[in-house]
Amino acid sequence: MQPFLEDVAVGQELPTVVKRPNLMQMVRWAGASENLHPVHYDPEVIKASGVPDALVHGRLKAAFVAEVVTSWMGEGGSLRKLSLRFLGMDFPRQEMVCRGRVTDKSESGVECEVWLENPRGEVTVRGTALVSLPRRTGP
Amino acid sequence: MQPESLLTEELRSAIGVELGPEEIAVERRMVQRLLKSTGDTNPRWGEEVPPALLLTWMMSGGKMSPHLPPAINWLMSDGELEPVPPFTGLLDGGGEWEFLAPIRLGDVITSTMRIADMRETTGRVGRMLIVTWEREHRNQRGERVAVSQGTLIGY
Repeated sequence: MQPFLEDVAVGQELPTVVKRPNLMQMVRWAGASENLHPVHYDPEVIKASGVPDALVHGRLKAAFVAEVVTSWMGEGGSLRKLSLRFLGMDFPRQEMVCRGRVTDKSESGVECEVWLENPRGEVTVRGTALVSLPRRTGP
Repeated sequence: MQPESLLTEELRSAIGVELGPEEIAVERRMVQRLLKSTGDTNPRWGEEVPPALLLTWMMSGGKMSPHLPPAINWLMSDGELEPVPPFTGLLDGGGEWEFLAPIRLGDVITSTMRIADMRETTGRVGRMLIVTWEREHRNQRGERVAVSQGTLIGY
């Protein structure tokens, strides 16, 4: 359903996007992004790095968070800006819940806070998104 | 003895240096691979490509520049090169992507990148070099379709 600017309220939560990437999906992302850092898939490098498992790419998590906004904004909306900080590590086969909430609304667009939570209750990606939405009454 | 600074004069000389241009032809298979890797099934993404495409464009894609210090080539290599001592690891600190115009299948995007700043600090992983990068993307008509900036952390 297409959201319209007039109908959006500050504090409104966006539908969540839940992801559970496995190693195959991470390797797919490595190929698509040409980010071949071995800490994302090579057991020897992972062990030598002192981390418990392969690290999910920060940019893959960023794409998951972006999807919260792009799947909500509809055909008539557009994502204008995305600002994200990577705050912690995530591992394959764990559920990542990506969320968003409207924090401001003006003629120029809708600002949302967006974040990703892991099963340990940590927020490992946090940021903001600026979205343009169509008006119900037309431009 | 005071440890040697991570931000050597050689590295400092790379501040302001422009990398590229890199030319990227946006083709259907590339976008299909991206959507499969993120699991995004939004039917909107067909001729119009998802904003996540810009997230996949990281640094130099492993391309080395003989004119730059080895540590910069390593920092920009998306993990394809071995760390250059005294560095042992690399983190992506995040970024900001501003989408100015849609990118569509068939577009040819020319991307240039600049090392905007470098500074040394101390954090969880000890001494760190924070590298701030900026990137600009133009389509085949010369229109600016996106600008981005972010940080890399070398330690």
